[in-house]
Amino acid sequence: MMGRGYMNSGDICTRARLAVAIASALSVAVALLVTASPWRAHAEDEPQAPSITGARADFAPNDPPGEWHRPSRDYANTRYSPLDGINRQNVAQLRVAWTFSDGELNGHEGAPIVVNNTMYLVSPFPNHAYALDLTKAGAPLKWVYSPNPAPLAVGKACCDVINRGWVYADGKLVFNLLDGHTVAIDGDSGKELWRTKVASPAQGATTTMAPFVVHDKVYVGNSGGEMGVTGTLFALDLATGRELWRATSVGPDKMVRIGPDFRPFYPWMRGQDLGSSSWPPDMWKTGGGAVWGWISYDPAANLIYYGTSNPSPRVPMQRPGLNLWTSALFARDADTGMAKWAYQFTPHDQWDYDGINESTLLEVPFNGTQRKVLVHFDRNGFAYTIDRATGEVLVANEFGYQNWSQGVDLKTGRPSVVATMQPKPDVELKRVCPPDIGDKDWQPSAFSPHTGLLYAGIFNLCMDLTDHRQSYIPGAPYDGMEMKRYPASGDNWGAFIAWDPIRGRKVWELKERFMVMSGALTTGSDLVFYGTVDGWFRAVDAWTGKVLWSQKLESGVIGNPIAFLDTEGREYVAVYAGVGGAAMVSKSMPGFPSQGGTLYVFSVGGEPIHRQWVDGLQESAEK
Amino acid sequence: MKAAWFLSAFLVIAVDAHADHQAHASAQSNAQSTAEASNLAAVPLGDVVGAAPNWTLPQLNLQAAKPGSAKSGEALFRTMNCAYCHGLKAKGVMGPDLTDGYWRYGGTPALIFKSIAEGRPQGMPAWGKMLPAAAIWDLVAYIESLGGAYPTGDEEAALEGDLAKGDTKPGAGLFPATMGSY
Repeated sequence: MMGRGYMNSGDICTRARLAVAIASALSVAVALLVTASPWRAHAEDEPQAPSITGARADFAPNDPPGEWHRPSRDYANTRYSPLDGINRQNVAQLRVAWTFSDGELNGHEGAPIVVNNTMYLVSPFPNHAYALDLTKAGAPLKWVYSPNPAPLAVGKACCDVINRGWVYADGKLVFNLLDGHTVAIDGDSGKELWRTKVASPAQGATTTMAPFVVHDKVYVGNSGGEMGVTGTLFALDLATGRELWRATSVGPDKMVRIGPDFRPFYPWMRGQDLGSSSWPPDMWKTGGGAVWGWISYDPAANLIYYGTSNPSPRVPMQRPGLNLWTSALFARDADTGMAKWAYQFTPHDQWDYDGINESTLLEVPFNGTQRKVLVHFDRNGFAYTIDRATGEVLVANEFGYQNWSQGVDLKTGRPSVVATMQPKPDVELKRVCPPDIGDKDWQPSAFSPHTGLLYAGIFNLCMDLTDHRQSYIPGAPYDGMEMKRYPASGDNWGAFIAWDPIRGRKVWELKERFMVMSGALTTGSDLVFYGTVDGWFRAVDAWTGKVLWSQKLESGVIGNPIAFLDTEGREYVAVYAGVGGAAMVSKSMPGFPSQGGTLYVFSVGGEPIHRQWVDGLQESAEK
Repeated sequence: MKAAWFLSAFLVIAVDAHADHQAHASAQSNAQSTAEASNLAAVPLGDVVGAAPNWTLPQLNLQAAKPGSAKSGEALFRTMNCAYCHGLKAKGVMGPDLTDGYWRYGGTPALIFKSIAEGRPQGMPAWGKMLPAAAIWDLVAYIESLGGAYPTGDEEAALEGDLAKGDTKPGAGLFPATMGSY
């Protein structure tokens, strides 16, 4: 059933084959030379060999290769592990080393964190945190922390009571509770250090995103683009939890933290108080622009980058105007929060194309010069390569099927809109592509510094859409979209792609019958890991897309895989299984799995922590 | 500011589509309303300990005889945004399915009324201050018309699960579909 479609990309493919040959030869040489070491990390101070596309990344803050401190591992959001103990030669022997149930069902959208031989996990609501001891056989539980969040939040979360990730910084585990609070707990003892309120569930706001930490600051945002919230990013003090500043996505410049330094690249986004004047009077106050996705950080420029959600209500007829700064991207000074530039992917968004997906920070050769860019797969079906110093769009090409736009004009930065694809209240509009959840949702992509490609799980969907006018009622949905979703072509709801961010095209694509809504993991051994909504967890060759290993798990995989080492230098790959979230739009498909909530940890041959100790037990039992 | 806009939005809706509610509601005497409220307050949410359950309490829809009540309720279900939590067909999205006879907080018309008026802890707002009792009974009538409420006379059996029927469907059982995006 697994359809397989390679998209040709001329010279890239030829060069890729050559590179595979070179890489295989090299790996043999390396295996001969470094037999004593169970793994080989690419030293951080070693200059990176150029990748095939020429794209490269800065892996700051350069955490130890065997650890994983933040959801995307580095500030640039690459999700790249330099480990290569699990590689193309042995990946077919991956087996379960151990599993851990966190006792909760619902969608598991996070990545495990590994620091100081401890693994940290956070469950969906009610957001229990667990610390597992990686120095002992079976990785036993060290402690559980139960934050007791308000049940009120359960019915305010539009798309399941999920949590998208947690972060370890300065001895603390920091994460959001569904009920609008950010907490920090002591990484050793599990004791709560601080709890800060950033959102009010009674007003329809929840907190689902993974906090992002840079130096002494924690950045968090609110969810609730379907509830008419005022989308906001908060900076908290990592030491105390005290709010340092907040920046809204809608409203006058003062609230949005726009000052004289704000210079959007395109003239149509320049002007005073556009965050309120691009709306009918006062409608920005309930205008959404929630901040529920990923943040990245450029240490050299000291800028953070993040996207904003759809405008509220989702019925465009009720809010004529550009609806700035919804479905957009902000670059802000990491210390002051002042905006440097912004770019609206989908002006006056009419289809729920949130702009919250990840931005991966790369450096690429482009038309003869080196450019520092961010790469962003938007829900609207276009993958953007944007100069991250200025906000200039260099590439904006389709990575999935879409029919709402004839393309993005690179001179003006504006997408053209197909007139017949604009919904009107109470009239059913057939076959709008992509649907509300986009050609790709929040599930983050990964980057390989060897291939210079990005790898992403995507969707292949359209919708029939009927809008219904809405009134704002605090704490109730402010939505109005009635949808039926179905595959854009064939019977595959999803795919996994390799993307060239410079040429703006797919290098290969694996069609999947179910959605691919897991994050991706790239490794130093040129493997890429991802999971499917029907519960397959796969390893593929980064160069060719060849599936090298697949394992069916207890439930759908919408978590984000990681790689790490134990004290003996053994490499593991770990991922949560537990379907939920937006994946539930496909729940009536035959074969859709039931819920789960288990972390799976794999190693070559299923070798566990302290194999000798485990073997010893077996021997004594046999005697 | 927000409150004024919110109130005017409600009034527009009420006047626009539900003028009959207003007339009906204002026709009720205050004394009647008070008696009704205290009777409803006496309807227990849980099973009764230490006594036989008293199903003679006012479990039924007080507006059962009102023509067009379910239809008015259906319109309210959309305009008051109930539909975007419970689904446009009340089959459940963020909030639970209201058509399946499975009720966490009781499925007699009176208990459904109380859930709407008082709200419930996992996110169901309390509508009692915003909607007149007549409008809430219309919503109850709509839910009854979908087959969601306990059948009259069989309340105790329904409470004990004697009337439950199994569902067979692909997918994840009780877990609701999601709207799909934030």
